[in-house]
Amino acid sequence: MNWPSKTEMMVLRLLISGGESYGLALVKASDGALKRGTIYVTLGRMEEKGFVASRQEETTPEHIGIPRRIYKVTGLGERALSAVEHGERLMGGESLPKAVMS
Amino acid sequence: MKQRAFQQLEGERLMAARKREGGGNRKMMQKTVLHRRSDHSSFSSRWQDAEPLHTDTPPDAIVDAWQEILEAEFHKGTPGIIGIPGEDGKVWYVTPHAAEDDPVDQVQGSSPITSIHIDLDDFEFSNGTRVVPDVAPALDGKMVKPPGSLIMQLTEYLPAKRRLRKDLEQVVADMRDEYFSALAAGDAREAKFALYRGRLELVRAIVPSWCATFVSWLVNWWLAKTP
Repeated sequence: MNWPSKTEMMVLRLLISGGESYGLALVKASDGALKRGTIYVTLGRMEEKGFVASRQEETTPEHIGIPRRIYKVTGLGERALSAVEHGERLMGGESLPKAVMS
Repeated sequence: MKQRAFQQLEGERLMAARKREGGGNRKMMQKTVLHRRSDHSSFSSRWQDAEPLHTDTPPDAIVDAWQEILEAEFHKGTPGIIGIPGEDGKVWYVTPHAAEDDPVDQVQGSSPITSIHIDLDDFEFSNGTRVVPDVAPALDGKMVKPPGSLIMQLTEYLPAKRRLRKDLEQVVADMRDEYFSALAAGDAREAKFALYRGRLELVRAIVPSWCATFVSWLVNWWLAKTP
């Protein structure tokens, strides 16, 4: 099982608390913890792992510009986050060892 | 109605011109501010430091032009520069923005553009009275492309995986979002910053991917060469 990394966990928490969102909104909501340059790579990787699902923003005929890709957390993502958080609680708030996470 | 509006305007302009004749050699500047009223049927106007450049402009053409411009600007809300040709080889340049000394309480309506500032300027012009509304933010007649257009075109030709293209699109969308938001807020410095930051993010997104692609290609090539 590929457990979510620290950054991925943050993305999952933001998506769970804020609902569907797009990259820039997540960066802004994270107060600088997520970086603009890596957010889309992270989201792409998470999508491959099945933690998030994405869809293209619905556009109207008046809409100008590039449509956004909207991300939402999947059931797998929620369960993975929940499991890792549970593990961290058992560790007394410490991060789980890398060997466990890989 | 149009005729009356023009006559009112013309009368005020001539009065101001007469007043000015005794006023010495002041800098020549012509402008007027038109207010749109909520009943959408008439305009009030006044002249500041007016000087008549011409008196034989066809009233209907000019008033039609004003109304057309006001309608276009009022509904689109897009700032721009519009030239109204006059018959005597002059063009009236119209730039929509609120004048500082306007009594705002006289202006009604929900549009952010509440007044139109008209400058008269000398301009060589092939004779005609057709109004050419040009509300696009053109610079010296050139079409201005939004930021990130070039990189989006380049990704069609340069090696880029589908996922990278998808990511680049989003980075460009973010850059444009922040750039245009800053411009709309009138913060040119922030807009410039958003542009530079966006370009940097594009480089950050592209370079590692291309490096990885190149290394992968190199390794495959090497493996194919060695027996």
